[in-house]
Amino acid sequence: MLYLSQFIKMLLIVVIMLQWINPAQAADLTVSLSDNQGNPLPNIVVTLTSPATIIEEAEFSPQHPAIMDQIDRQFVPHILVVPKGSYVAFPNSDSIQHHVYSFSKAKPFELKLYSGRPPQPLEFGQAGEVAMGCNIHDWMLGYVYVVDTPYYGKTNARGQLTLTVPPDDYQLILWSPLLDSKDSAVQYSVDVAADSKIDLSLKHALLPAFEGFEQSDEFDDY
Amino acid sequence: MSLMTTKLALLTSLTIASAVVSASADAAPAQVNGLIEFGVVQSHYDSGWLNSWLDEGVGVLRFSQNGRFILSQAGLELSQDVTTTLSAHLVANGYTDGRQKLGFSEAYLRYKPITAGLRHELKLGMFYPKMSLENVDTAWNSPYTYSYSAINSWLAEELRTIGAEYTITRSGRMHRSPFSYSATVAAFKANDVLGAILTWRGWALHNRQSRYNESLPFADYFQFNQFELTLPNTEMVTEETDGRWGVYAGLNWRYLNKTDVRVYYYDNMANRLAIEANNQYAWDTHFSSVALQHKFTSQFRVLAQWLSGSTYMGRVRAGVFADFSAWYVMASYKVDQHRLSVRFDQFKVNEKDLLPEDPNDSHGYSVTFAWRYQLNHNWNIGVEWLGTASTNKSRTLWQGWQARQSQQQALALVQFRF
Repeated sequence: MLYLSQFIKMLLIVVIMLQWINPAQAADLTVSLSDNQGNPLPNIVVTLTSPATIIEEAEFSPQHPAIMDQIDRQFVPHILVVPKGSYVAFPNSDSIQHHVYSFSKAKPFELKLYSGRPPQPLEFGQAGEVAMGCNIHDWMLGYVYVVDTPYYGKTNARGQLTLTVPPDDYQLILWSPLLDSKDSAVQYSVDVAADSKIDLSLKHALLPAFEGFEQSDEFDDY
Repeated sequence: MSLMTTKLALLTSLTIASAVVSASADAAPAQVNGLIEFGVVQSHYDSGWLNSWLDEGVGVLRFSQNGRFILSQAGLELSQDVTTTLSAHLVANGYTDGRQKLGFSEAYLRYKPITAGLRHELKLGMFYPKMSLENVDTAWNSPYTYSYSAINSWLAEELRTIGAEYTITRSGRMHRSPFSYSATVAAFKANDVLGAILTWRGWALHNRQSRYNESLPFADYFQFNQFELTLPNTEMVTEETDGRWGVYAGLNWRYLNKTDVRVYYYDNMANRLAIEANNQYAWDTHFSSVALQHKFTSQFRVLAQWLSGSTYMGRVRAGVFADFSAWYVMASYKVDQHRLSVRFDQFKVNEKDLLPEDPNDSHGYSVTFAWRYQLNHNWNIGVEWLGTASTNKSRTLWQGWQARQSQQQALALVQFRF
């Protein structure tokens, strides 16, 4: 029986070592978001943060930047989410020039975009909302939302988002330029111990999106 | 030309030239856009005297040829950033008809600082007031029809100012509102002859823009000695005759990118007794313009414009006074690479002076159909048919000529764009 006890000891040591190599098992948190009428809400940014959350390495480097394009006199995507320290490129797919600017505290900048001459990507080193316009096309509006966590995403067409995170107690925050400030100020406490689901709904109506501004043509800047 | 205009023109061209020259290889690249438009015209008139005013006829259409190959126009837009917010712009146009083949229709500096709340823009030089919604394409062309409406044909041939324009804008998107607003004020020199060709010849329909210092010919309405002085049957559109400033002001209201309304008031505040060495008078001309565009869908839109004003030239009992007005409505439908447009124009000039020897009453209408097809980024083709009936009393100065005439013109054109 000596052999069996030695085998059990060995097994315990292996299990403990495995624990040491992979101390925190990941869990899936699925968020389902609906508006104040109960309809699924797409394209809303969800972030999870805890005191232990750190961004080890920026996801988007100068060599592999995130892309905020300009297509048909609009920003594409309308909302780009990047972790703090990421680089963002503005390639300008239009055959005309743009003059992108922002007055947001997180990243005030101006960038002239000539067709076929993409400038160097810009670093977004401070968390927060960066609202951008174009000095030539007044109706253009886009956002870079810089987050302080590697755990983030946008809800899909069904208002859902699944984030894979280490088990922890998290603060969940929603963001979109269309959220009422009372909804974006709410911090949801979420204890993610294992795979779990959470249903959230807004208390207030979304602000109007004015999608008619997106229906521009090449003659609108006259 | 007055000293003031010379100085203004010199200043503008020098600044633009220095801006272009100072741009080194690693600085902002120059932006170049242009088009060349050519094809065949069929314009059959009953009488040779209904030729174009450019050929000293009394017709209201541009082309006198029939079944001929024409170079309709060449247009070139050149822009150069001096700084990120200051840019220089030049627009050159070339035509084979008229007395001047090449010239500049616009040359200006634009300063547009980046501001967080209200937006500001300052322009200095020679440029069109943005009172129209039809001529929004390269080199102030219409993307809808080849021939402009009567209103914009007139602005193209006779309205050319040299001065400063300031615009303040409240962008709706930046203020979470579906409505955007702009207000524009401008003071200018030149353009003292505005109203002359309109009063004598009447309204016309074409796409020929007058350029800086161009002498625009028209029929010799003065060979019958109805005036004390022998007047020239040409006009220098950019001439500054009286040394006075003119003004214009406009309001622009826009709902999303769907509906656009522009209301403008223009007054060259000319001294109607001022006269050039060649007896070209200054015409005291003012008018109001309301332009509208509504996009029902991304494919279908309607445009309209109304313009009404008055002009005065010379002494009360020996001068030329007239009221003028015109409007058009256009519907345009774009499906895939096709664009179909139809426009109806109506126009008139009412004589107000006491000089029956110089009849200025005219009125008429026109219908224009156009189909245009975009082959690729560089090439597009199209055909246009335009029919107009005009009753211009000035035609009866010639013995046996009738006031009322109808004219038709068919164009088949190719545009190369770059």
